[in-house]
Amino acid sequence: MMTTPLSMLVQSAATPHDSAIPLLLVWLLPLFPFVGFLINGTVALTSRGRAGANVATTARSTIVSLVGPGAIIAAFVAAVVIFTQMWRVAGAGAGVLDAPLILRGPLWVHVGALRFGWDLQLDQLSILMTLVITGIGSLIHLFSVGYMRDDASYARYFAYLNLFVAFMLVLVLGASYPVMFVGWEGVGLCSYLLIGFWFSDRANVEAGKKAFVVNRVGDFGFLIAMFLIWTTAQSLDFTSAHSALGAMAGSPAVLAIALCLFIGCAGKSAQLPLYIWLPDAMAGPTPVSALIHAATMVTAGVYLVVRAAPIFSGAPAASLLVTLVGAVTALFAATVALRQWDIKKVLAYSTVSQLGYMFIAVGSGAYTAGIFHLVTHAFFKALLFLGAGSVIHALHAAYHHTHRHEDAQDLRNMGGLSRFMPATAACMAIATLAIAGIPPFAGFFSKDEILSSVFERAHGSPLADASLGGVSGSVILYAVYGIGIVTALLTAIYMTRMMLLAFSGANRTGDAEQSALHEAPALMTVPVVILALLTTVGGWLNLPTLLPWGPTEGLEHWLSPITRLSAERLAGHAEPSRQTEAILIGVAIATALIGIAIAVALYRKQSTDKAHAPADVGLAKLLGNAYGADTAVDAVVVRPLNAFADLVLTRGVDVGVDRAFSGGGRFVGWIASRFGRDIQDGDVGKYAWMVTAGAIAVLAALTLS
Amino acid sequence: MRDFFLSLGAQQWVLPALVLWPLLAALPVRLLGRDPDGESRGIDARVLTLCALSIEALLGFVLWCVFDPDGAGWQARVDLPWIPDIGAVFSLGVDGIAMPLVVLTAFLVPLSLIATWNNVRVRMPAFGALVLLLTSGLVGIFVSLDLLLFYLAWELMLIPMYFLIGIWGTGASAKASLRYVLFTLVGSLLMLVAIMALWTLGGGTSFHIDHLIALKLDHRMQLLMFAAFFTAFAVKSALVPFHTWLPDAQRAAPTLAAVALGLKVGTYAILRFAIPLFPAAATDPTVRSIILVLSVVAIVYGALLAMSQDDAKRMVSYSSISHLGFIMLGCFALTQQGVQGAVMIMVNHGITTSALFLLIGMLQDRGGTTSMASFGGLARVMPMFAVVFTLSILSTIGLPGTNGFVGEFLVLIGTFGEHPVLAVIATSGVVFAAVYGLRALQRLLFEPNGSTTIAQMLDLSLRERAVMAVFAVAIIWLGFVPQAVLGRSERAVRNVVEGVRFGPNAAPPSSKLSMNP
Repeated sequence: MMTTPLSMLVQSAATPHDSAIPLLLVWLLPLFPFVGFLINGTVALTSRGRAGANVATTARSTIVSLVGPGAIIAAFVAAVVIFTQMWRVAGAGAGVLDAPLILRGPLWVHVGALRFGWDLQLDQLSILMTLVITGIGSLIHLFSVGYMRDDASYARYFAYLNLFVAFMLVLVLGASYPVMFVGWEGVGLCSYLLIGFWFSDRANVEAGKKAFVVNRVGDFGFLIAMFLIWTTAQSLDFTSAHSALGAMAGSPAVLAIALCLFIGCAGKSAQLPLYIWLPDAMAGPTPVSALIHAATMVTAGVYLVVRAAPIFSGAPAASLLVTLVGAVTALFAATVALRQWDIKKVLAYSTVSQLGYMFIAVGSGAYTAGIFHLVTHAFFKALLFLGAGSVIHALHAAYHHTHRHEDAQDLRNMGGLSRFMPATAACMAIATLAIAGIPPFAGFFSKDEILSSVFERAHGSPLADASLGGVSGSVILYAVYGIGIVTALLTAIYMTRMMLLAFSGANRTGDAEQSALHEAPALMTVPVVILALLTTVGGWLNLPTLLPWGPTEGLEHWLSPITRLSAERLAGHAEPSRQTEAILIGVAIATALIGIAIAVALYRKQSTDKAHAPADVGLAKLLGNAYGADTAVDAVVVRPLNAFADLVLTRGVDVGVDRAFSGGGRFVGWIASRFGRDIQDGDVGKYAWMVTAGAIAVLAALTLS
Repeated sequence: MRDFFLSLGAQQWVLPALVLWPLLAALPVRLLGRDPDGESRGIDARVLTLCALSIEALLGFVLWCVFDPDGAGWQARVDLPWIPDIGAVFSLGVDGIAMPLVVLTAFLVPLSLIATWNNVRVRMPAFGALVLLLTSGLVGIFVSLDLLLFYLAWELMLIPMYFLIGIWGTGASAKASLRYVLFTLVGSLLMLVAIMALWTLGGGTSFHIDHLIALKLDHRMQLLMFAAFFTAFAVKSALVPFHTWLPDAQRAAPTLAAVALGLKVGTYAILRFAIPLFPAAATDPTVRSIILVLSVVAIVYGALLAMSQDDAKRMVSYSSISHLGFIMLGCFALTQQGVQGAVMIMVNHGITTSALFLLIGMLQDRGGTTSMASFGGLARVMPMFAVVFTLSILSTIGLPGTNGFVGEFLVLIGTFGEHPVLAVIATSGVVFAAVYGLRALQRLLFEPNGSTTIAQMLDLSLRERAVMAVFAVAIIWLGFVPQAVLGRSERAVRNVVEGVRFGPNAAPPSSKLSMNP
């Protein structure tokens, strides 16, 4: 039962072309990181001495330094090989690879008609996600070697990080909702473990717990969605469930499924109101924030909507809700990011906001645009986080050098860092231009495609004709476009502010510390530079047809077997006029430039460090506290629930139930003592024993007779 | 392997041996054994007990091998004459519902004894003998086909448990053990009356389930008897609101007894007797609604209470109460998925909860307490412990990839079709489970409390590691290959579900039950 013949793992290829694709390699994709987890985990468990003393030898940490990134790089190489073959096969003729390749794994559950196995699915979307995860994952793993090498729990760190990649690959490669759910909750587990990585600090553990529990609220929606899918479509495999549900477009069941799935997305991808865990998640090591909480895991919700596009496109109201929630989240988080002082918090809220853009895209049926932004965001946000990591690393070392306990993440303690860390500053500047939407950097193209898609669908598309809560889709889409533009403006402002505070002006770290500030080692700067390169050229993945320089709409073509039908169901066939498109691009660029100009005007000068800075008041304080959302959730949900569980249930109801039974018992005893002449003392225990003894005696007598 | 055991005629002897061997071995252990530190002559009673239990585990393995997943009806069935005057037969047999639980019991008890090797130092011969009696009772409950025999096994389990908690327990153990006996006894007396009534109605010729299941009973009679059986079993399974004895008993009990209390004899009996014997009552809309609602209440209530416990053992108890709700929900969803999920949870729960109790017992051995506030930062000093404890907690909160997920998923998906609202409320249990599970991790493993005693605590010994490795493997194995249990229980569950719907006592077709594939 455990063993599966090798031949079973490879589904007989549908066409001669498919056989060119090395399907067995697909199984190795999650397996490489998993083996890495096992090796690093073993090292972690065997190298810890008494009382947590770090007895890691050089040999051991060399193993970790090789195995940790090596496992991910191996998976990346495998992914590239698979992708190359797919590319060649797809180029050989139209129609090939239109259906996903299903790799049958061992049976998992088979009960009645319910049946699903450990099956993987290879298609254009899953291989793209795999490339992003393993590619950026490799860079971040390499960076981590530099960033975490001196940590006492170096091996444990890589064990968790490898395990994360394994689960993330299961998430995107799974061929059914349950298998995807394994990855879905698995990455949540790794996220929990890594946020609370430095667990001696209570706040970190609390942040990890919060992330897991809030994600579980989302997973609750995911579970209900699976129950609905099964009762409606009698299958949990993507292929058969989607073909059944696709035929039921417009039915209430499909709407319910889409809404429940979106609860899951909102949890994992930090959308309103479930975003509250992501800013706290910054308690983890910074490379973790880059990999898990920016580039990969948090985009799983976007991936899910695209994967379930046949469901979402069959429920236009749900799609409108997705796009609306995305827009409101994008705006909300961007305003909060305006007034954060912690460099990682700026980036965290920025991530929430950018994820909002992705949901704007996939909600409006612009699935390719959503995935496009997912990819470019992975480039530039991973870069920004790693850059921030280098900065924090430098400040931390400087403060460590002078034994001062200052906040190494506070922007007010930075300033003028470009003089000390020119490479990091230059790379982060590129990423800032990308996220702000300045051409030719990657973020410009993806964000522009999202906004222009929304605009073109706002009129005359099936989605515009649908409605959500009585409001017409057209109104919603125009509003979303407006919000998107405002958010773009805010994005340019808060990112420029962050860059100015960190890198320009006079240095506020401290006079003694300045001598210790220096650029990160090559192991950390090289991944950042590579990401900067990707950020610069990433837009080529999907250039708009308007621009005649190079392969246009590459991603659109690549993903079309997966997204085209669903996208057309929501968008119709309308193509925007070149003129409209040109105007939209002009608006987008102008917005970004204005935003940068505003920020330069406002934030060029910051003269006080954190210790001497005045406390924020008024609007600044409100934004700094994220509108008090955490406090509100604490006061409205967490505390009442705990109090209810503790005071009402544990100390009240449960004691009451117990007393009721004891009282009832005493009453029986009392009755018994009235009637039983030999038992006058009302001792229930004695009474009980006599009954037992009597019963056994009767049985014994019968047995022996 | 199967053929080898069959050639030895294992089908004829394996079940009687499983029931009677521990019973017979109890006396020599009591007479020949001595305390671990004792001066008197004799053999260390722990060794004797373990030898006896190892043979029991071997027998369990034989049963697993000879069981035919595709076989119909009772397997390894044995009928020996017992009390011919009243038609009672020493009739044993298993199907796919009972077999996994028997094997689980046969392995769990010896593993627990190894895990708690140094836990009991006084009156060890008596302890060993009682553990053997208890094992006999537990196995007897799972394999008896004769209701009188079942009742005997039911009570046989009660008595050793009373002494185990009362004598070797900690804290208010005398009170806890008495409450346990009282709660169970009141319920089982009701059941005894119902058994007698059933016997009379059946013509006074047989207590055998195959005979009684064919009886034509009117609706009212079914309701009365179902009520009696169900009450007995619900109390034993600690269904809310009959649950309050469980946290006290498991808190006070010695670790091994706490593990045994986690075995799901009550829900097994519901599935084996209460539902098939009285299908019209079990599918009565009112009765079913009450039980389903109670199950959902138990899921949420147990999880919420687990959130606010300081004592680690009580926390696990309340999480059991929550899981029990899932089992009950699955049983009364009466769909193939629901009932198979329930069986799956019965097995999983035996593995996971036992692992947790054993781990907490190991902490108790080291730190002298089970209060979570007294620990903290154990991940640093006891990394091995931390790994297994985390894995067990993840299984408890139903992380996919562990065994805990599959059962709950099946129960919920099997309930959803007919009772979507209840299933949705029950699903919210996964959120609360995350809260209590991670809270336990936080308080025990992370958050250092600075105590020097903790810094001195030793990580798991080789013996403890070996035992916990078995549990860890089981948790992951059944998470990935639950078919090992599901495939074997499918036919038996189909019998139950179809029997309820189409059997002689089934409710008239007007009932609202719809067929769900």
